[in-house]
Amino acid sequence: MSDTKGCSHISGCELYPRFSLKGALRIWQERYCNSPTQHQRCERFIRSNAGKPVPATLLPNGEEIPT
Amino acid sequence: MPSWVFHDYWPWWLGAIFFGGFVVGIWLLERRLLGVSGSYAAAIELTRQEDEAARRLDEADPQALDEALLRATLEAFGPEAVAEFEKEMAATPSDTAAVAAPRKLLPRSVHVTFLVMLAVGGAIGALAQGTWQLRFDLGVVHEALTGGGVTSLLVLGFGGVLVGLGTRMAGGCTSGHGLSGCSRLVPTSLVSTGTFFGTAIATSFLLEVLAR
Repeated sequence: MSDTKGCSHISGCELYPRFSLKGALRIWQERYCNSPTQHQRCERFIRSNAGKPVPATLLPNGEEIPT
Repeated sequence: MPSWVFHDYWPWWLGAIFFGGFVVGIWLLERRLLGVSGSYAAAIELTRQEDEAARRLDEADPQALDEALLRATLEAFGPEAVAEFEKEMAATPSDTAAVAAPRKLLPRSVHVTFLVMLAVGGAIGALAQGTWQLRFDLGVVHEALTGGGVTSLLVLGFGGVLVGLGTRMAGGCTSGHGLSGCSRLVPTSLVSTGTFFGTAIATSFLLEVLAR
């Protein structure tokens, strides 16, 4: 299901491990992080590549986790 | 120290072993990437926005955080897509389960200690080499170009500001991009490192010529 040629930022991403904690949350990894092309749509990836701050609560779709 | 270890500088391979060992070690032990400018920014709280968000995550009730994440997931993909995905997950073993636990935010004292120890390590290296001394200049070329004195300090300060701005704009420095990024073949790190090292080499040659 997952592709190893996904996002190169996985190792440093604060949210990626959290997405592994519950089955339903892994949909983020599947739809963004592990996809060879779709990870480029991730707002965290885009901001990081632009040298902008990436808040830990920022979801790949650009929404914030309501903490 | 034996003469084959130290000449004017440490031999390149010894430095490479230390740097590489540290980058790999910090990853194996802490699952963190080396980044000196990141530590510097954290030490002076330039990364307050990121830190506050990370702190909120760290301090959030785990169950409430789970629920919030699940709500956000359902909103993002829709209940049907999530249910369908869960069915697929149940039918197909996934290799994403074996990942490290979420990282905890490092306190500022850790970053400060790291930065102080960089200077201490450099001093120990110079002491071991027998070359440690207090210096108030940047060498012959810098003095020849700036004329020394206040001008020299102003040029030095201006250069420092440019380096700081460039590092923030590039999202990293020689350690973050050069070591952690290039070793993972991150495209932006490859471009950044090529740019700042290329520019540094060209500038060094230019200054050498101008100083003659």
